[in-house]
Amino acid sequence: MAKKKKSRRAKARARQATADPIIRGKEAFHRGHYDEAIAAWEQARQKNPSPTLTAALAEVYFRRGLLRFYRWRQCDAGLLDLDKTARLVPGDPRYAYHLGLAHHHQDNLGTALTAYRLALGADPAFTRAAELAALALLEQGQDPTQDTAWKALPTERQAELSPLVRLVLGQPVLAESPAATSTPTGSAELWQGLAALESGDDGAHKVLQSIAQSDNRPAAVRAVVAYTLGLNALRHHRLAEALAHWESACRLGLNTPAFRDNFFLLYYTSAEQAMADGQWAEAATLADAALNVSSGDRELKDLAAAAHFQAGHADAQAARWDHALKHWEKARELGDNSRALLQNLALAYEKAERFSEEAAELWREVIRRRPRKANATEALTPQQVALLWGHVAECYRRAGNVEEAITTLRNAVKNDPSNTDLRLELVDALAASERWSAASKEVARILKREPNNISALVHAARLDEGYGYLPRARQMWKKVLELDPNHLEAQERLVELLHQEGDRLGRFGDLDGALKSYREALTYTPGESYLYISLAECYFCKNDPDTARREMAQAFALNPADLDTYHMAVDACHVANRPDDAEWVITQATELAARLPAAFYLDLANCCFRRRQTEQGNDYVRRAEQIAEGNADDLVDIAVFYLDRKNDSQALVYLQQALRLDPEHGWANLHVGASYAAALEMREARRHWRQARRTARQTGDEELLRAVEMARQTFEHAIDMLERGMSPFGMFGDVDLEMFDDDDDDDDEYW
Amino acid sequence: MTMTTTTTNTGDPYSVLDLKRGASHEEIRRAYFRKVREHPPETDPETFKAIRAAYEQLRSAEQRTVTDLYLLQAPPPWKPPKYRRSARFDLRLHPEEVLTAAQAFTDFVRDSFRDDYEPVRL
Repeated sequence: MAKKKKSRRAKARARQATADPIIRGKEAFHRGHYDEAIAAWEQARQKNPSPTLTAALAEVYFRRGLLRFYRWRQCDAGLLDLDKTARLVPGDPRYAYHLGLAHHHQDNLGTALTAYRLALGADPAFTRAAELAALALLEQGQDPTQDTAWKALPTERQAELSPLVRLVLGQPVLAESPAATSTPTGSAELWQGLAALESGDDGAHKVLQSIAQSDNRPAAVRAVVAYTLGLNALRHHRLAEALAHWESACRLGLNTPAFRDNFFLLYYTSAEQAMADGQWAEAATLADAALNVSSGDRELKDLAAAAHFQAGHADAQAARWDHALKHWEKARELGDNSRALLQNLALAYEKAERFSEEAAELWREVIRRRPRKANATEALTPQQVALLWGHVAECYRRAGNVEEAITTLRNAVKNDPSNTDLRLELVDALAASERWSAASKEVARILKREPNNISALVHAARLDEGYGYLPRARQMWKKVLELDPNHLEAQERLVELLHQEGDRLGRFGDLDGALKSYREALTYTPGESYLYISLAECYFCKNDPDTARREMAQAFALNPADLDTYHMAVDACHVANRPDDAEWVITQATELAARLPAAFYLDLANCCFRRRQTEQGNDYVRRAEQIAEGNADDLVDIAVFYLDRKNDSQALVYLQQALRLDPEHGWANLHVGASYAAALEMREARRHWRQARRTARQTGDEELLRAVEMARQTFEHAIDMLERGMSPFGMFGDVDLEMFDDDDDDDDEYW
Repeated sequence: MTMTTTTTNTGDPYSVLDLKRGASHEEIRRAYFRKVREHPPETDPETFKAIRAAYEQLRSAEQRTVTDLYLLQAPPPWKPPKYRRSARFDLRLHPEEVLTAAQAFTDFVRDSFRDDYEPVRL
């Protein structure tokens, strides 16, 4: 019960305290919440004004005013607070002084002086106010030594400021005296040095140089000294020295109008001089620096643009195209939009392989701005304009903007309808955007003018093929070959089309038609063995095995060691359902070619399985297994065959056999590693992959190297997913280790 | 895409042959032979190659038409503006600069005055 009473009393006290604005204000004041404190104490003062409360309010206005003015850069609000402070407690020199200082910052020198005087009136020993009052008077061009504020300064400070006063008022400054150097801030030597240098006495140079280089001096002092040293250098025509001093002054923050004008002019003059001397790059650097001082000057912009144009030209002539590009971009930025610059810029973009729309736009502009009068020096003929349009189109095409490429090519053709190359480019662009009809029409127009133009005929044939007009495509290719019997593309395409036609006719039972097609194809390329095999297949189907065998014999004679030919021949026999002839081909292959590898039989097996000739297929697998014994490569091929058929256990048997024969076999190690990885035995998997990688490096087998890396990444990723509780979506089962399109990404740390 | 429209040979064949851009066909031919005599292929094969390449670019009227289209353009000679504002330096040290330095020794360059705060007694 007693506890409850106590708690109630504490709460009541807290409520009372919160209700009391003085206490509330005090709490806010101590937390630094000056707005709250002011609100609370203003409320209290209205109810019950007192000198202590007024003093407290003045202090809080004072603190907020300083914060607003200096930290938050809210100058007007800060000034209002400081003004309020000075009104609340007029007798406090601090408040009057800070009000004066804030006005001084705002260049309200009269108001500042009044406030400084008020501060001195309240406390004559407040010398900070006297010092700034002296400065304010000097800024107004008045002699502070005649003012009452001066008398408030201590004698040594007066001695220190006296040379400053004389320097500013243009009166002779007395030579340095021992008393001057021992003044509180040690600034007398500075004023004396500045005055001496101004009056042409170079003796002060050394002193000022040491001040300029002294880190202990305020930045503003060093800046002014550097500026003065620069002025002196300029008086002696040492431009480079002046520039160095002023760059230093600029870095230190000097920003008076006279300095800005001089600095700008020095840069400008130096840039002009560099231009006159042909020092283009230096001129460009100086002009850029001048632009940093005064960016709006038109004359300077022209100078800078000219310097950059020239510097870029010099760079381009020395094959420094990247530098040239930067200079010309800057020149353009500065307002040079001349045709010459645009052309150079376009060339530079192309040189930098930036066939962007930007380059295209530049070329467009070059065309647009060409002199239109035929007798002008730089006039372009319609043929040249057409070529430029073609070039614009090429830029667009490389930038992937086919539509613009087509539009500009149409412009090109309009300017020079006789330029077949451009018309064919238009055909290509139309075809690339799948406008087959428009492309065909354009080719037809070309062929109407030039019926024997081989390029146009080739385009027409390609378009017909794309469209599926195969008979017409064949006619076009034949015409090309009539005009140019050695035209390789025409030969290849025609043979391919005739072969396709033969196959098509054969499928529909028109065996004579098919034979005719294959024979015609052979007239263009008599050395193609697959055509003889196709002929043989037809003869088998026509029940003429003797002729078929003769055709096959011709195919084998063309390239006796080519296993692909035998493979096609065996397959053709099985298609015609002639297993005995297939055996005859295998006998031929065994006699004429070297040893038949397991892969030969495995490929035949796969073909038989696809045609559902299972028994025959199994027979070929058995033969492969028989010849594979004692040959690691063959064993691996059989393993891969089983892996493809999802028979992993059988595959592993062959892989282990291969490894027993050759423990360093790269592909065997790769696949065994993958089996271990699938069983989550990563240590073993890595061991085999390490071996596979070693072998690949020793034998220079890049394909194997990529396959190992891919297997590693795939399994590591899948295991990482499993460890995170995610499903790898059956990645293990679907990994195709023979797809290695990825770049080789060596990761030695892993190994 | 034909080479004529895509290739922009940005080397200047005229400067290789020491010719002006509007040179006649005869002038080009003469300049080529003169240059070849100066830099025969046996003694100066690289320069000869450059001379030959430049000549090829200008040899026929058709090729020259294309070459001229993609030549590097020389910037116009720069001339200082005729009516420029006075380029006189103001070599005096102004009171403004001196006072900037003088302010650096005073409260003028401070932005914190916490030491001027007084405690509040209520």
